[in-house]
Amino acid sequence: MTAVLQVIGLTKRFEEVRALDAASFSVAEGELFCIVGPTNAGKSTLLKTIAGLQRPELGSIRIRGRDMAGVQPKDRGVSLLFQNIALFPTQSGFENIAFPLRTAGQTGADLERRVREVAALLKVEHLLDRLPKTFSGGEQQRVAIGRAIAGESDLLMLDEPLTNLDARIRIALRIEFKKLHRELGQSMLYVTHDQVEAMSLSDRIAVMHQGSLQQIGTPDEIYHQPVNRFVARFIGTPPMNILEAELGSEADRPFLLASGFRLPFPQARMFSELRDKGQKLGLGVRPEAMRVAPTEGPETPFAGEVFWVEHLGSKSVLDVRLGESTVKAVVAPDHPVTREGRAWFGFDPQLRLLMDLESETFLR
Amino acid sequence: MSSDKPWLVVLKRSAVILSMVIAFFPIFWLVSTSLKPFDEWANWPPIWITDRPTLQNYRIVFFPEAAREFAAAQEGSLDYKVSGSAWKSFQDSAIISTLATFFSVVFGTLAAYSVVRFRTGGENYPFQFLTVRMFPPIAVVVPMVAMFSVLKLSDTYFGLILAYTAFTLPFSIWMIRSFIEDVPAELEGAAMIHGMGQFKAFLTVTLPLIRGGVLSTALFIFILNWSEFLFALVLTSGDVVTITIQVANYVSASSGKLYGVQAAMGSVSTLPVILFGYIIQRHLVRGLTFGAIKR
Repeated sequence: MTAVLQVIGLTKRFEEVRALDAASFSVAEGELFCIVGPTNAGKSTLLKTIAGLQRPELGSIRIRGRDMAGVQPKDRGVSLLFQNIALFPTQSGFENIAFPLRTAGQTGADLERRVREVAALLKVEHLLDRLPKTFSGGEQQRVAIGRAIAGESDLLMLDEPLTNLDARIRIALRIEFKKLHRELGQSMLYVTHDQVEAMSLSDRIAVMHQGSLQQIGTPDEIYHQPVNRFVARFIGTPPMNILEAELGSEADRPFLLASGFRLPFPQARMFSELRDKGQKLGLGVRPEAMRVAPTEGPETPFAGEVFWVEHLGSKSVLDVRLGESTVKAVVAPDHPVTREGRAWFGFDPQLRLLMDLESETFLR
Repeated sequence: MSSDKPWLVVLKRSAVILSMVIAFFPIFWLVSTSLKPFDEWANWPPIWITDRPTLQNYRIVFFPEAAREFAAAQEGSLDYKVSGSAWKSFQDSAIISTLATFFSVVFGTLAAYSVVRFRTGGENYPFQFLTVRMFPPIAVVVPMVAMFSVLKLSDTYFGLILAYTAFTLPFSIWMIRSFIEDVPAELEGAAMIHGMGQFKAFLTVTLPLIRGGVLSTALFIFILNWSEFLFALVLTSGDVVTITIQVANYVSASSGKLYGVQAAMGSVSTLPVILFGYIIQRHLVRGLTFGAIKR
């Protein structure tokens, strides 16, 4: 597959703050690529820079292989849906959607047909004769999406398209995006702070934090093999537990020791390497991977104290004191342990979730 | 309002009436005086509304023969400039004020755009602009006289237009800047992504939104220019005569200031401002309404 967009070492500073820090990634033809990260991670700056509305300090942007340095926004072949919508207030719904078509020189029946087609797709036919100030939030969003997709573009960029909408519209529009992507075969760069949205929509995800891309991968990779503490804790609700642990051995049988539990260490060669380096280690455990039981057993050997329970309907989240650390565990709502008090826990250590606590990155 | 006590309502209305009387009295006095015959101009006790209304003062303003007749009837003589028609001063003021306003607003809009969108000159630049505005004109007027005479700009339309434009430009930039700041950069960004260059995006998207602000700025500047006296006095010497200079010229050797004639000219010269204000009033009232931006 060829890359529609290649971003290489993009860096931009505002005053002293680094908005973009050597960001590099590429989006393949027809791919839905998601950038997810907390507010102020630099996501909007990244999109505006790709669109040519802001100038990078360092790095380059290529769209279909063509270097974008000095190329005006209108000549880049990208479309962008702004986070704040930015519909033209003095123009009707029709004119807003028709805007990119008119500037591309389309007129008459062709233009009319295309606008109607887009309006039908987004169910905004009733808004065509009205001004944006009369639209509701969801309607504004849909018309703005219409404007973004009406013209032809190599890459459609969407900046938090579902934020600030109520839950019902959000889910409906999420499905619409997925359909749009499938039906139009459009390459998309989708920015959101909502990890659930990112996980459910994308082919690939880049997790962004403080202007730099922490990890790029499929939703599956990001969830199961995060590279560092930030990614591990940002993706997944509740976030991954990271327990401090030490290495030890007894009669040549290596184990992981932490306050509250002791686990056999599954791989001998790695064990000796690690022990020689003397790193401080952390062990990542997803709350979903915690085993919980009301009694001690071979699967649940560690005693702990449940001190807070959050019932969420489809699941319950337990806050557990395990030795000196506090962890979260997720159980089904009909699980025997759904009340505060003593319980028993277990989990399997996964080597790929072993972290060097100093650099906060997982060992590979 | 309806829940107010009666005495409070009376008090409020009285305050409104009083402030209106204070505001409108000068205009009333101007018009009233302009209709008075010669011997009632400076009477004591004052004559509020004359019993013998006359248009003689207006005739003196607009018809040279009437001015000469009047001068002959008086013992003193009118200044030679006054014995001419005031039409020329209206024409001069109109040319100078209109063009200076036009240039000030056009350059002001472009400069304000640059300051807002490109941070031209850095964060403090707009404040530096404003200090030019705070500068008392009297302080620069003498060097300007020297400069203007060297550059052969004294007593020309161009010279006064230049001076007015320069002196109102900071105000223009400052005002229009605040209107442009209210328009999110994303609106222009959207136009640029969807096929327009930056300048065209500004003209088609932003300018219609700030039109009201630009027009009200233009009105303010036009009033400043129209009523400007100091520059007009020192930078001209007879070829170019603005209305403010012409009003000051109505002086006779024997009877001092010709109040009635000055009032007649004053009454007429407020008309263009009222007319201009009336024409753009629709835009002044309507604020910037955005239906498209989520804040």
